[in-house]
Amino acid sequence: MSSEAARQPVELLLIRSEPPCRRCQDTVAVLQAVAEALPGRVTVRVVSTEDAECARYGAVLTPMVVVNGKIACAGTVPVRSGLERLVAAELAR
Amino acid sequence: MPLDRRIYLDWNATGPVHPEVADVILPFLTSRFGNPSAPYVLGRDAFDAVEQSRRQTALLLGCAPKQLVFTSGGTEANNLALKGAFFSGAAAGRRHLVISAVEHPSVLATCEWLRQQHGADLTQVPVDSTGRVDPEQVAAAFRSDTLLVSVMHANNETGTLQPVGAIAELARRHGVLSHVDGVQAAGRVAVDVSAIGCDLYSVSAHKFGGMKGAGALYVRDASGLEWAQQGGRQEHGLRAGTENVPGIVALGKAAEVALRDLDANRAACLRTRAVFDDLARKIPMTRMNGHPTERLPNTTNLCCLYADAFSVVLALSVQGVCVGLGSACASHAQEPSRVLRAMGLSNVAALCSIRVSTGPTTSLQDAEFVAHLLQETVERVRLVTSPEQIGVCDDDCPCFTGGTIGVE
Ligand SMILES: Cc1ncc(COP(=O)(O)O)c(C=O)c1O
Repeated sequence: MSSEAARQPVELLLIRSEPPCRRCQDTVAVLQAVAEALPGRVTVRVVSTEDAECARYGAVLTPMVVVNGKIACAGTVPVRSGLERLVAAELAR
Repeated sequence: MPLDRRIYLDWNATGPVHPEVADVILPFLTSRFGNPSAPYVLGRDAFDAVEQSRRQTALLLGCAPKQLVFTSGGTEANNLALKGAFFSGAAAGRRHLVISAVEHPSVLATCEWLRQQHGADLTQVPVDSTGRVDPEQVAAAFRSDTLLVSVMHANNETGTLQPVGAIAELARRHGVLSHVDGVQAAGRVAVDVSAIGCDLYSVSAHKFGGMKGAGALYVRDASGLEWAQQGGRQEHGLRAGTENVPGIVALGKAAEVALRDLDANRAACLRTRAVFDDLARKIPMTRMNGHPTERLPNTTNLCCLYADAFSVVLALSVQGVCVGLGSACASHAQEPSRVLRAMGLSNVAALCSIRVSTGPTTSLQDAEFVAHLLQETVERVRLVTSPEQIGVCDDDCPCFTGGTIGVE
């Protein structure tokens, strides 16, 4: 990929339940911590299961984390170190 | 992702209607719509079509056409077999049923219902680590009041084939009726009900190129059965209700095509299955659940330890790939597969298992693409999922199942 594309931030998308469950809230904290460690290189977006965007993912188990369009986990709070490695791999693409 | 760009690898859940089958259905929806019970030409025409299907289906199963009762599918065939035998046998004081620990819910739940509501006694015979039942253990479960044994021909989750012939033989020697749920086997492996020697055998059309909502029950001798459904005199009085003529016509044609193409389909499935069997060696901490050789030619069940199966299946789905998550009926629940648990897998191992089932039209190229994607997905999911969290759900974390897999 071009260096132009490499500068695109990695998107971390969280699909959370409505109302947000505790694990969804824990997941927001993990995603924010990952983003804060890499200023400007990671964006965090949160949508709820009520959102139409959700239909694209089929059945949804919350919390569900999508990294640049690829599902990383569903139904579990992501491990921060693992997520950071995934983000690093995306940034290196 | 447009629907036609998807790679479908969940043929044990269902499959497409075979093009040759689709061609014969249409007239029965439009011009040849008669009721088979009606005396005029349009009715006779529908009756003849149903009888032709009975002959075609009988050829697939190796029985006489009159030994087949058409049903609304595998679930109803299993219900009819078990309830029909029970309501007849219980009157004579025989209330004990024997099944394997890996039966489909349509067998297990029916037996459980008979136990709870009608005083049946139920014994579940365990399976070994490959999912096979030992016929000797089945025989050891027989008692003087045992009425019937039901062991499936092929398991829907692992594809493991059962020694149904040996079980039927032992049952006959003990004077016990034998039922075989052949839903996953019929049309995929050679089936000859008279060689198996069972009394009852269930099939479902949508597993081999027919339509959903049509199936059949082979009944060796109808005199031993009480029929659960009352109404008209259809199906020789054994199954009341106006026949699903298009579904039955499709079943017959699908049976004809499946029998004709059996060897070619088997070879094609074995080629693509090998790609997924191989993953047990290629992906670390991965093994195949099921019997190494005595298995459906299209099924590979893989345990990728510590890669939560639900996450893997959803991740593949977003990329246009459909694979199975244990049994379809349990796919929205974070409950480990009862079948895999019976084979000795831990909860976590069962929750990390996916089912890949190919079809005759699955291309080698697609299989190899998915194998590669699966490997990548397993690595990604393992990275971010802590093992302790797999399958754990908070009380306040509702599993949301409003989205529809495969539709966009
Ligand atoms: C082994 C087995 N038995 C029975 C059934 C039920 O068949 P049907 O879907 O036609 O009701 C299935 C379907 O998944 C099956 O796999």
